[in-house]
Amino acid sequence: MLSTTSYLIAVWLGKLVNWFAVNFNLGAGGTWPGHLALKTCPGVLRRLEVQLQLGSILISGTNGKTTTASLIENILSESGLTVVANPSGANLINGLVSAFITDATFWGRPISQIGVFEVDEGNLPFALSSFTPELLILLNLSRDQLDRYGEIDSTIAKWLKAILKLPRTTKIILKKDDPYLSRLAESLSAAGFIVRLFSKEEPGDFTSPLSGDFNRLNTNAAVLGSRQLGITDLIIRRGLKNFQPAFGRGEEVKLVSGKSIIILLAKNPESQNENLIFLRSLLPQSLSAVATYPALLFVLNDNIPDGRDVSWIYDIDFEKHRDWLFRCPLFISGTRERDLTLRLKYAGIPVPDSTHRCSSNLRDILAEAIASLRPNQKLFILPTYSAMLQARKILTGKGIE
Amino acid sequence: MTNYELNIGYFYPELLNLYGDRGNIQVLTRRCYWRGINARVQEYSPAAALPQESGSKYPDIIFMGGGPDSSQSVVAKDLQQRAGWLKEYGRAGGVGLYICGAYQLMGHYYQDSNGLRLPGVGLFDLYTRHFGQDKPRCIGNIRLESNLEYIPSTTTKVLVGFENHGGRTYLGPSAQPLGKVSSGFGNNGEDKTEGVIFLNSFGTYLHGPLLPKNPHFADLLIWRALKRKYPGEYLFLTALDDTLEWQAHAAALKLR
Repeated sequence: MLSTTSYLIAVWLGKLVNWFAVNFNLGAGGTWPGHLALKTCPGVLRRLEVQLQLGSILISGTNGKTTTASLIENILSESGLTVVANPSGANLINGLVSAFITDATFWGRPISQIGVFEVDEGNLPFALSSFTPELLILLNLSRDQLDRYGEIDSTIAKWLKAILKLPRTTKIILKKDDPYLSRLAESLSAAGFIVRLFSKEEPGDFTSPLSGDFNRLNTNAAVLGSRQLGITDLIIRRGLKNFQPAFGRGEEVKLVSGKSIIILLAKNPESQNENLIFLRSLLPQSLSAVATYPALLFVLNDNIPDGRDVSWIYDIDFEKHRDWLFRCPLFISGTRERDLTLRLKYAGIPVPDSTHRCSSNLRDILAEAIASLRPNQKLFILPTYSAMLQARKILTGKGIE
Repeated sequence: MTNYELNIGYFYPELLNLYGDRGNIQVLTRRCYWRGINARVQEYSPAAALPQESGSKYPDIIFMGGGPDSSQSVVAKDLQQRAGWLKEYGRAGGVGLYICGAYQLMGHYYQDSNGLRLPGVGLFDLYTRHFGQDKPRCIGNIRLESNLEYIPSTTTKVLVGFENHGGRTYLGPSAQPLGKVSSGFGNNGEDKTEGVIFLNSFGTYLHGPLLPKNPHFADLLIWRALKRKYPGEYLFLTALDDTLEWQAHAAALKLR
């Protein structure tokens, strides 16, 4: 009885905080309701989760969580299901609880039938102590936020320990030929789990709604996941077709002036290298078209969500892209703008010079970059996570939270 | 300086590459290139043959970085086959920079939280212990006052970087620390020492990577390597425009 009381108080408190956050535009609606609810009733997450009619799907990994979760959410909605999902980036436990509470009735019952949640890779073991997912998708694991989580091997060991406690009915989807995940796949198969693998090629025959090899992987993970849930290929195709990219993941912002700005999140070497490969593929073939090369704004922050350590910028393959990169007008900003400028210097790309500019003031340099655009020239912003939120806020006049 | 050349031996690039440490190689080669010094990078993977001292490929600077635990044990095993060679190189005054995991493995041993010992090369008089969950990782921005003479001598002695290590290193009686920690953990978070100096070999926990924001230290390595390779010659190091390097260094001094 007592536990039910504290559970309801937790839900109501969460709903109240959420109401304030929404109505007074406090910008913390994604995490604070959950944070307070967890303080009031630590078991709130398990209790909400077991009430989901069709259970939940968890997606974790270093890169592609948001995109893959959005793809699956879209496919499930297409099939007529009601879906509860955490908003982009609110992927710690408090974000998951917030999403549940916003969805739940006054009496703490989820309205939606199924949950799709992206979970921070460091928080996955803790999330699994409250969740018994129908489906667990592990996309990849790479060097990101080492200052928060220590080393990759210890993360894998913690994942394995947490997953082994799950019932063998939980279906597991992993990336094929990933140096870290392959070992995990072997251990899990040996322990009796049904493990399925996706790659750039498998399962094929589906058109990715987003460009780039990394999105090909995200799409295949989403397709394989949806099939595991019994969704037909026809519905999957429709879900993919009407998909809209998530905030900051290839999202296009059109300004009143007609100028176009595209945000590509760049939070670790892998995502930045994918961005550079993608940008190179967009370049016009003839050298005389250099005038239409896109302008690029790199923004490097070292706030907690970005990771305090910026060493990873030396693992970005700027050297491989030097021949076209230095022809683009370059703009550099962020709390660690000097570090990134120095990084480019050692890659053989001088900043500042006639077309390359830097300033730690994002607002100023964004204005300068936009003003510099010629007709038909696009601006790509390549920000770390907190910088992405700042850039969106400046561009649209409000944040996503 | 166009007639000079330096061989840079980059050990285990695929295994020890966790924290952007390859940036150190980029800085060494670029700073040589800007001065007209022909710097060649030779990579060494496990079991690769090591060059003879008289050979043209014998390294003038050795660099080794840090890696995840799984790589570290592979490297530790391979290092056992090379311990004699590496010790001889270091004791003869060969220039070497050993960061994080490599730094630990150049000591006597690394003891993990279960009490298991990985034997080290034994070039540095130090050992490292990991206390498991009992002690948190040493993570954060770090600054130290180093015990080195730079060129020109008016140059700051401060080194800046980022540290992230679970093991704690304790220096032996004959070991000289690289410097005194003014902000951060350093070797063990207890005695304020950071890193180690043995002749021209340097061990440290600083990545970030170390050399881009500490151009004085990069030049010290290049300078000492040139002096060793070309003894008795009149040598000087061409001054470079390091405005940006020092601005990044100054910005790092303000980091929490």
